[in-house]
Amino acid sequence: MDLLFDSVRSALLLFMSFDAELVDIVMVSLKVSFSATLIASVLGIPGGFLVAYAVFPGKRMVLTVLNTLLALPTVVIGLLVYSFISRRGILGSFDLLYTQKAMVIGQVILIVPVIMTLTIAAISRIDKRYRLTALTLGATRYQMALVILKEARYGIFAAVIAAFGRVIAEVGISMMLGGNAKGFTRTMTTAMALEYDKGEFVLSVALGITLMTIAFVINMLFHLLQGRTGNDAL
Amino acid sequence: MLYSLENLTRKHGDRTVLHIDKLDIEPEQIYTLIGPNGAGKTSLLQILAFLDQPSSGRMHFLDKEVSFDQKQLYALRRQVVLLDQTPIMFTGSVRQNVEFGLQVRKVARTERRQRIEEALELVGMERFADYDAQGLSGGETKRVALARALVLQPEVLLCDEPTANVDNENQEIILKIIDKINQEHKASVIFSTHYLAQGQRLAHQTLLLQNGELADVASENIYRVTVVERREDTLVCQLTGQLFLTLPHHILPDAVQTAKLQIDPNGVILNPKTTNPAEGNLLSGHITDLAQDSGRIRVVINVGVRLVLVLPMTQYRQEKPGIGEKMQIFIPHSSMYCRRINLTR
Amino acid sequence: MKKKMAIWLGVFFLLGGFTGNVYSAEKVLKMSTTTSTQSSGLLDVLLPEFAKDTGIQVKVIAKGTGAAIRDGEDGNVDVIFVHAKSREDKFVADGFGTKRYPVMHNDFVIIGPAADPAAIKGISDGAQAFKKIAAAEVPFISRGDDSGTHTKEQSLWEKSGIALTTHTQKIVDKGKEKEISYKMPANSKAWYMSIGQGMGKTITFAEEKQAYTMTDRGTYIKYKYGKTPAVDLEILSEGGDALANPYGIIPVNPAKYPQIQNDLAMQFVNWIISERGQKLIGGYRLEGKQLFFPDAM
Repeated sequence: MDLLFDSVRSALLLFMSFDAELVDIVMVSLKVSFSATLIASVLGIPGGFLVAYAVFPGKRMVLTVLNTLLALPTVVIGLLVYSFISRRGILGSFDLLYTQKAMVIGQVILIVPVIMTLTIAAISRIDKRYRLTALTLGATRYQMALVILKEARYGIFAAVIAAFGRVIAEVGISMMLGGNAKGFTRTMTTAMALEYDKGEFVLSVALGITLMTIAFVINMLFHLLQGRTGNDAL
Repeated sequence: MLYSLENLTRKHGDRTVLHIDKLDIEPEQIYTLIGPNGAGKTSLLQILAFLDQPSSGRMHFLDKEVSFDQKQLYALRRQVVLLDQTPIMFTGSVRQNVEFGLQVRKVARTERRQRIEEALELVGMERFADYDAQGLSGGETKRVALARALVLQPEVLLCDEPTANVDNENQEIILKIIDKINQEHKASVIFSTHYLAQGQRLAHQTLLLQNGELADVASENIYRVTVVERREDTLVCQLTGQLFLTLPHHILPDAVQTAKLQIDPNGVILNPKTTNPAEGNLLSGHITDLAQDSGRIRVVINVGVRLVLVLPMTQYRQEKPGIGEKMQIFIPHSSMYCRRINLTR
Repeated sequence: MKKKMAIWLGVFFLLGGFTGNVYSAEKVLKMSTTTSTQSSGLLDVLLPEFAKDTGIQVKVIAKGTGAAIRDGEDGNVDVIFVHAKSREDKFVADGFGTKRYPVMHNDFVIIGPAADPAAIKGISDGAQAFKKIAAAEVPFISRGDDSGTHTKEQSLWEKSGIALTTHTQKIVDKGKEKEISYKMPANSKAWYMSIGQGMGKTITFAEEKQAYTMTDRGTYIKYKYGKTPAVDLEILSEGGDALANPYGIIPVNPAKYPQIQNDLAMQFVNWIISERGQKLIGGYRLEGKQLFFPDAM
């Protein structure tokens, strides 16, 4: 109980002092997580749409593989990407390892399956008549896709939020590919892991409280945004 | 010809849901497509709307062969609109829903606004323009969906059961609009409906689908009738000199005096056990012809006019009617339907 | 088929449970130590011998020195075996440990790319080498994890005389405000990277960035000679007094926490500083090289 009480007070101290290092860490976390979520959404939402609507042999297999990828441990992704981008890897010359770019790459791989499967689920819940109605009113395939995506927006929004939650809370990839370098690739989660390793539990939990607070605020913002698009025009 | 279909089939797996040997549909007419549930009405409409592809066969639209490649389909779909049986509204206002097809066609903003006004006025929904489209009642939704289709000024309007699940008031409104756009804009209309549904009276032509095949009613059992008496819930019509039939009252509007009557050969009962005069007409006549037709027996009987009825093989084996034999038949109201005589053509 | 597998799994877990119980019924000493003793392989030699002599199993928790000391302060372990002399002394002075026993020492080395852009090769004074690295502003990777190595690194920066900044963090510990702080070269954003990870990870990080870092010799030898492909960083500065790295062992004070097994801890301490323990330490070779030098003989 003492630990929690101390941690809450430490978290308050952290907030009030507006500690430059903490600000750095939070900014790195947000920047990397937002970038990864954005890129994964750009890939995963159309990808999910394609898988949901296209008819092709082996579709069930693709779905099974996607569902399996949901359980892919961050360590496996970390290792895989590491082996490509380390100085000895094929992409070694790009000097990517231990940079924010490397973290984004790993996190995108982590959440593209999340966004795809949830998008597929969201789209398959959408009434088939939307598709036929859009087509009979003269929509092209692209315009029809926009209609479907719009009607499925709550589900897709939920997919994006879930994906964001996954990356901002993720530690394995950030640690392996980012390397936890202070001011460069140290995120809230790797900082927590470090403070735990150092035995500074209070600071570790205080950072955890900070993470939760930020995640909460961001989710609130998302929900406000979602409410607004809900009343929005066609 | 508006549409020509030849040897066209649609299969779902092993099941053939549609098999049409030959069908020509003329332009600027109102067609009704009738037949029991599961007969393939919706499948046919979806193919005519270019929303579904036949499994085999040929199809011409406005005398050009339809190849069903994506590019051609997008162009064709812009001349044809299908109104769903239970239409669905997109997220947004009524106005935005009606605007969709115009936006897709990149119609200029000012023209868009004007056409939306007109379309909503036509269906009497102009007051609802800024309402949330997904909050409308069933009948209102159908009217807005009709406006959403008509605003595009299609060559062909296809409607799947436009009057089903709609109250009487909205049914009348929808039928009036269909009639109006056919007469004023020369749009072709094809809509599916039930036997004896009110909409039946609008049709210039009737197509009957059974088990995915066109049944041959269009050329058989058609009689010109004259209304001789209107009772409270029935009409009495004269077919020829001595032959009179009673019909349900709503089958023809009050003003119509002459019409074409069709009798469904599958609905006529040979040698009925019990009959209720309120539900049909009991007649008798001599059998003049018997023929086998794809597992069923086609019976021609002279009841004052030549009438065709179709018997299942099992019933034929029980009854064993012979040529020249005198038999009773019962024509239920539910297997009679009328279409008007188009005086302008 | 599935059912059969489930049964086997069940049997497997049950057996696991039994062996676990058998294990815990023995005498088990809990020790927190630094990653360097663990990863050098020394403990793999010492602990089986100790078990043979005394019948005591040692459960090793390997962490950075800071965390290892914290384990001792929290009474999670019976004994700590670490290398940060000033902090060990403070641990004893604060009453968490009974006494510090010197055990052995090895040394730190400064490694870097063979091209040696800071030109420190041959400089045995670590502080002097650090000064040149700072002057050349060539990449340097710091453990930054409050470990013994990190503590040593900070003391070398202080001795080098270059400008330092101190980062201080206020936290609340046991209801009282407390400050934790660390030092690093001032205005070093362009070349100084603090990664807060273990020694091995720090060496691979330095290799990836072709940067300098300071490491204990044991971990370096392991990464240089015991691993394929070998890490391509060279020892550039070694041997000076400032780079010496003494290890001490401290039994946790049983007066603080009643569950501390002081008798087991003392058996281990006495064994490791005995002639037998010391000889094993002195005789330990990694890739043919002596790593640790006994201090208690």
